[in-house]
Amino acid sequence: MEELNLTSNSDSISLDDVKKENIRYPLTAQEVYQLKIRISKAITKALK
Amino acid sequence: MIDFNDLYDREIKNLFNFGMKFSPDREMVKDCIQDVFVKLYTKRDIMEKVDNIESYLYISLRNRINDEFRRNAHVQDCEIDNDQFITDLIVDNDHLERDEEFSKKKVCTMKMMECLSPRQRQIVELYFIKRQKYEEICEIMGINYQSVRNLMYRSLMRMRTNAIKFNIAY
Repeated sequence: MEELNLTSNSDSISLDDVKKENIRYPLTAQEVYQLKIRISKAITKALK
Repeated sequence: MIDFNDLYDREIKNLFNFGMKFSPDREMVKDCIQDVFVKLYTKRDIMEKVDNIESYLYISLRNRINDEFRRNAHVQDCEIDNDQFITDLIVDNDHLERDEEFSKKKVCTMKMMECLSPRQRQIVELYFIKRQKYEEICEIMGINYQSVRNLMYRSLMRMRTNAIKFNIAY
């Protein structure tokens, strides 16, 4: 199991556990797409 | 070279699910995911040196949401908007809304919670309302087990003191 400790805090997060979890809060395909567009625009704006 | 398109497509659903453990606010979680990706991209030269970019993504999101929570809690404190806070706390217990004692309990809870700091309120909400275990609270709040126990103890002590002060029988 992959254990990570990347922050200033002393605790770690198991990435394997996170990925094995059932999706309790699903995103719709439309939300996935819209968020991708939002991020793309925000990155473009940030790079200007 | 990080393939951001691929990273997004692979991780977005799990990442959002992970973020929603910290906050019920879907739009806030999306905003935080956006911030994390923007930061990741604008600092991609540095990120190339990170061993596990996926892990970095998840931890960055957790930290970003915690920052947002602290900021919002501070704003709420400034506005003394405890009514909204308690309403949020009790929103999961829909059956209580039909209970004739709901209003009375709400007022009592408000009084008991008034003295808590934002972090203390967060831990009380996570433990008593959202029924999270201590181990899960460690992850959500980004503090270790002993710190969670200490924070919970101090929160309950303050609530108890406040209950005595206001002579609340809850």
